[in-house]
Amino acid sequence: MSATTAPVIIAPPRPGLLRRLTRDPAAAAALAFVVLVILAAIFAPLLAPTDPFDNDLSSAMKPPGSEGLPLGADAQGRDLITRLLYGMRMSLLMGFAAVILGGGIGAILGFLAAFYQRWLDAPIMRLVDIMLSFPAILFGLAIAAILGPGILAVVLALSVATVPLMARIVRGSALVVMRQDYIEAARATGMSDLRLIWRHLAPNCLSAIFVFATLRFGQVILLGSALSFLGLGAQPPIPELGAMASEGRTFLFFAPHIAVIPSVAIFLVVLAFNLLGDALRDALDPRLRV
Amino acid sequence: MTEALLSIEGLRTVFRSGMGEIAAVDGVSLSVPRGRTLGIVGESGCGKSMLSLSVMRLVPPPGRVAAGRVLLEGRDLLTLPKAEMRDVRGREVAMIFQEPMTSLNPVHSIGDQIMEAMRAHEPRAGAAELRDRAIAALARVRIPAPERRFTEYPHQLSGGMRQRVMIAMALACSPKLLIADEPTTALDVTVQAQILDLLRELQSETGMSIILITHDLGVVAEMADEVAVMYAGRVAERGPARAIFEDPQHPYTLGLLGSIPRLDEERETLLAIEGSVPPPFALPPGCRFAPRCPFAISPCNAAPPPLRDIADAHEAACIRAPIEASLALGNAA
Repeated sequence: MSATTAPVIIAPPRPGLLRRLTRDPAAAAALAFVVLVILAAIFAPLLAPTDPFDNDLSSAMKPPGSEGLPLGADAQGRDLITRLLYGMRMSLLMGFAAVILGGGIGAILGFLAAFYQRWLDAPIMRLVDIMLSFPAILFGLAIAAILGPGILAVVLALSVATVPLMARIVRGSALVVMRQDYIEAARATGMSDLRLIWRHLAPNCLSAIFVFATLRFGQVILLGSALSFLGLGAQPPIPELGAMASEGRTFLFFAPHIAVIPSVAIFLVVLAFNLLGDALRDALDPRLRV
Repeated sequence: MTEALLSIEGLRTVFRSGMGEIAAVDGVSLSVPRGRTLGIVGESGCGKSMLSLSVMRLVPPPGRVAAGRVLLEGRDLLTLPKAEMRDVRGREVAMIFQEPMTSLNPVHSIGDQIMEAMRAHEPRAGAAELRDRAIAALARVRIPAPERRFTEYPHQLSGGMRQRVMIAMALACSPKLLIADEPTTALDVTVQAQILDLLRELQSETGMSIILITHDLGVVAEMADEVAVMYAGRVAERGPARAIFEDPQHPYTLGLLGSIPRLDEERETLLAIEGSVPPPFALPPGCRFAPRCPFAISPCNAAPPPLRDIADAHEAACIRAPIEASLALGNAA
């Protein structure tokens, strides 16, 4: 800030979000891992050494470290590196779709509940309470029963399970924003409700939404893998981490790597998203702001 | 008195509470002349902010306007459809608030917020035009280097600068009436004077009317043409500013004036008004000021006194008015 005639409050320079995020080594590692995983998922077709459906029964169940198969092969003799890359791609895609769809609907409900507190808060929040009383697996079973098992069923189930959680988080943070003077000031300029929500309410709730979406992403991947493991989601031979673990469990005693490798991948991805979500919360917490 | 731009008639704003309905504003009638400034004075909790929010129809729930009319050029704002009322806000009646620190949204730049205020009433205006007008609005409130300020965020500005931005936003659509709710209370004294000067200059440039709400009699003395003194949700006294300051007739006004330090008079101690404002759920049946009033006599407790003409355009709600000058609290000490 250069010298002007007016007195100016000079805020101490705040380090950028990335700097604050990576101050904690665990968070930095989690961020790096997440970026790596996302890149690997996006570029899976370029990175994978083989086609995910190529099977070579002569190399079935070969352990990791075999020639040309660093992670070994599954029961059908498919390269596990390829399967892992494509499986990751599928799992992330399902998680992403569910967080965007369910989180988006949940956020809208949360904004409406907070903005029209007198009329919509109670109905929306009771609906949310009802939705919260069903476990996600039950949604999965119900939707799979209607639509038939598959990726769409899993995405819908995960979305439905995400809606009430996001609605609660957003309502809570929107209620705080609604009490701010700038909301009243903006109303006094004659702004319409929709613009008020979009321009003034939503941007001030973004950090809460981002933190929760990141944390939820990890949980959703875990839940999605569980649903696929149970046979409600991705059907063989589609590569998906949960389905791969499920396929491998028959051979747990002869070829443990078939189940262990996708399971470890699930574990690492979920852990990384959880760590990243926590770190984001710390970095975006307004109470820690200057 | 010139023709009234805004007249408030018998306005009553109530809040529902556990103890029944509480009237924050109880039968207030006032008018704002065109191009002039009405100062509304009173202690915290006397209903002056609720009065202004009632005019804007922005009373927060569970409050509501229960009775009365708010006529802007003859049109009752209280019965307008919602969409039309939205159009009145900002375009015809604008408002600035006490806390310039929190009345701007921290996530948008100054320029964005001013353009947003304009866009609310001119959805078809182009971005380049809005930008030019927003910069002009910043220049109009004497903000140096408006092009640069345009891109800055609220946290980069001082309190006085932010209040200027608020004023620029409020005046973006050239309203006929500006309601300023304690516009200088949160500011340093020197900045206060600058903001008041600015408001006066802008008033003479645009010919707008101003309702200035404050608890600071000094601010009123400097700014207002007309003054209304409020106490516990009612108007205690109103009249031309000169009359109120030179010949106050309500004991409450006398008390307020007696509690201001003055350099041109020798006075041992400042006078404080004994007691405090009665809570709105335990109001006395008669004159609401009677329990604290040094001139109270028994009829004061019987019925609320109506506003009575004391002199030309000068009214007081006190059965003992006109009080003889010798009795005046300010001179008694």
